[in-house]
Amino acid sequence: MSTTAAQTLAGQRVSTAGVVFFTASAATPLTVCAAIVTTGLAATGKLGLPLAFVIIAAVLAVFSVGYVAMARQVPNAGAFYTYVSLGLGRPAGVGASWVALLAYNALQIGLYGAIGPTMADLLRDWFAVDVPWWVIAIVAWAVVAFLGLRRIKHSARVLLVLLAAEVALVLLYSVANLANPADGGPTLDGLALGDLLGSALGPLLGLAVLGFVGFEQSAVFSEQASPSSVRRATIICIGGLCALYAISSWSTIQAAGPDTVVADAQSSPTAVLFALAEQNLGSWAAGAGRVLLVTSVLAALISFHATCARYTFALGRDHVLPAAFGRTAPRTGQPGPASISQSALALVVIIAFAIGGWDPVTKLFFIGGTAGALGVLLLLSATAFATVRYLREHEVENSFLRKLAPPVAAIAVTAILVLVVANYALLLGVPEDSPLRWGIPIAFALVALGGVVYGIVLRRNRPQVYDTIGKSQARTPVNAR
Amino acid sequence: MRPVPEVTAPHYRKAPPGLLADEFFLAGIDDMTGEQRLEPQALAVGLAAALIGELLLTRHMVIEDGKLRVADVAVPDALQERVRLWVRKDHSVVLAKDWLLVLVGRDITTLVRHRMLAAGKVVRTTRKRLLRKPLELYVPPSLSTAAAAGVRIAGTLNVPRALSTSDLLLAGLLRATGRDREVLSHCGPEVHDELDRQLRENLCPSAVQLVDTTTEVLVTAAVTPLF
Repeated sequence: MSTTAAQTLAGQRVSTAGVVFFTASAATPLTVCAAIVTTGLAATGKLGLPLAFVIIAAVLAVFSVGYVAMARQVPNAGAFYTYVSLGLGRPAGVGASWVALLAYNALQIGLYGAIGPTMADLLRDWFAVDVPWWVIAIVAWAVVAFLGLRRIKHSARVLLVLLAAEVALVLLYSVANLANPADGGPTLDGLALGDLLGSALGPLLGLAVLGFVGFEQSAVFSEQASPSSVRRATIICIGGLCALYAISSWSTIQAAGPDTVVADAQSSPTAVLFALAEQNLGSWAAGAGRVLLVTSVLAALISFHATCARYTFALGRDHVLPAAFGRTAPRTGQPGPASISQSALALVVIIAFAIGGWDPVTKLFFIGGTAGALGVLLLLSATAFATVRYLREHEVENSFLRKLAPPVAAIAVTAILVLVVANYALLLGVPEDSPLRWGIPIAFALVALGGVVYGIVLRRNRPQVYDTIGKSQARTPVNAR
Repeated sequence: MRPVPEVTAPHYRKAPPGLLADEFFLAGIDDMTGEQRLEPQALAVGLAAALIGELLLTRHMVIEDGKLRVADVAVPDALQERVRLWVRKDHSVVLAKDWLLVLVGRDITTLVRHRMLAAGKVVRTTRKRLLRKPLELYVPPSLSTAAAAGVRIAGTLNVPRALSTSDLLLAGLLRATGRDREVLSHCGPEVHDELDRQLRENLCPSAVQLVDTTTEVLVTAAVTPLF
């Protein structure tokens, strides 16, 4: 045998590029630039989003120092959940897992509210057929549910092509936007500190976090890729996404005109970017962008579906949820029951929205997305504190950066969380007395509390289950307690 | 009335205990259709573990703290000897978990199939399918052979009686790959509980680590997106 075992092993590992592509496509750059940026402008009425992206990227870069260091020592599938249970105790871990389930489900199901209307518009323009948004959502749902049960090889190639096309298109839009600025030429509007401060600070930072959701997926590969490539991939992702988002959102503001962009966005949130592209580059650019937006949302749906299934699976293995969820299907090797249950939940919500006749973009997509962002912020904050505690006890490498970064990240993320909750009505785009304004934060608090209480109940009633939480889930065959 | 020709009972021989990897391969086969029910990755990881298991059972290998150690005594079986020499001579990888992946990377499934073909335990057949490539199957000459290990394990657990070491390890690997649900699908919960108990109490420490490692590799594969 000419190759050594180590070489054979290395040949099976995922490369840095692989981790970057998967992680970045989980963040779906085009969806963020086309939908989140403009709906954010519409809801908050402030221009500070480009600067908010830069600030959040800096905070996440600091956060990732501790996060990746921990991923190295504890490679595990249910990343946030495991880290919190190891760092802050198992009851907190169960709480985190429940929050994660709720947050990722909200994000995933919310995306069905984006894909339906976007695709419906396309079909109307191209074929002059009126298809209700929920029919498209259910077709997308069927695709996601089917792929969730399969082990698809070559998905990397598809993701790579789509991601490259998205990034190229967003950059092209940005260049065209900057070449054709509104009256008065390019200004610093959007990047100035004054645009960010004030009551909109929290919501803008919250939206920026929503743009980066997905970067945490890199830790999933800590077992399958070499540690240094996970670290590199995380930094490349955060840096690259930051540059892309900041340039794109700033150039959009410049092209639409700082004075009029908010009104434009409020009249038709998802159309601003494409209207500018049509005006600057021609209708082909807008058409390409709208097609890619659909595929981008579809990729995000698939990716978040996998995340939800993975969390359910990890919890099933630990017996925090019924053990059936912790099974893989022998024929596919995928977590089948976990995937099916997530699909079922999504279908129920789509059907409920279809029957209720609620608006999919503002009610399902934006509220699902912002609720998910709040949940992810909560998880980031808990994880940041968990890494501080865990690394203090277990860290082998004692560099200055490693010591300083986790506490700084913990404080910064928590501060952002407080700001977001304080101005949550503005982020949601609802009046201050809307039931959603406190309903969503309270729901997350109750779910987290419920998880903690359940963890304590487990400690009393089923100590053998409690002992394995977050510790040995990958090792223990399910049922063999 | 003509005398009925005397019917002689076929001559049954007690089959020698099969090799663990062969048994695992057969247990993965659907005894109605002859198709392999285990997904390729799960089959490969299971076969790699079963081959290491063969060497554990003959004490040519042990797993200590997740590390695979090997004795310097030759094994008669050619494939076992090949794997033993790989582990013996190559120190670039020491963890049992990594060795499983190395064996998967060196296409352990094909190697085990060749051993079974050479021993006449399976024959290669193809089955035509509508609008698709013909299905390539490695089936035992009699499909009931595929069900034999499952029936034996279920019967023993049902009594309940202690499984032989090799059957217990086989059952552990079937559980790790999720195949136990089909193989033991006709059994009541008490059989599964009995298997749990025996896996916990009767399995030697090396074998316990082997089953755990196999589970770990498969779970990691299940939750990581393919690239």
